[in-house]
Amino acid sequence: MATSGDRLREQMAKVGRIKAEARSADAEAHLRLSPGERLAATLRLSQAALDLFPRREPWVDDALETWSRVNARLRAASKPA
Amino acid sequence: MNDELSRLLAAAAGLEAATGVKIVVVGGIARGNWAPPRNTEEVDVIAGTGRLDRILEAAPSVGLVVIPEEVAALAVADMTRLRLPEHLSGPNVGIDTTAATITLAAPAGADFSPIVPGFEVPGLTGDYAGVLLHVELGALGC
Repeated sequence: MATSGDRLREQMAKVGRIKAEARSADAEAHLRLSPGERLAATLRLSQAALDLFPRREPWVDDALETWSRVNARLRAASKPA
Repeated sequence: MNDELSRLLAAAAGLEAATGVKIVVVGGIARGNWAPPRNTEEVDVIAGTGRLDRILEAAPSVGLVVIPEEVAALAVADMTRLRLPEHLSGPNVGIDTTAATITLAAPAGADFSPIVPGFEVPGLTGDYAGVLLHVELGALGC
């Protein structure tokens, strides 16, 4: 007999599957666009986000952390196998 | 459309032309070429050179400005920043770049998922996931 916990897990799995399908459909639709249209979509989204949340000070510059990790990755990738 | 990002991408193409250094776009702009976009406020690139000073020297020729104190501070992470002249301080509106002479493998064909297996950076999550997804400026029409 299914417990309430079982039913909750089933429902959560179902929601997860639906979300994954939606993400996949979004991705497929996006990839059907031309490269220029994909760039335009990024630029439109970025402007919309900026309109909604204008830049403010003080701001946190995460470049040091981000690029330290990127460079570590690049150094690792450049080592001979 | 975000005009500042468009200007920065054009400036990156100008840097490539002025220096002869291959420049690939990474970060949010590159992600948007391979997967549904996320918003971004700057242009992140990797310059195919061992010398970032070549990029810094060419900045004025493409209408960008470098702040010596900022450049010195960011050198700790082997990267640098070129800003739009109207954003000399405060939140970054510019090009962040590092220099690397390795060849980045390109995602091949359309056979990839939004996650793009193999192009995730271990240990980087959230906004940093897929930061090494990259795209050539020419492919973006820049």
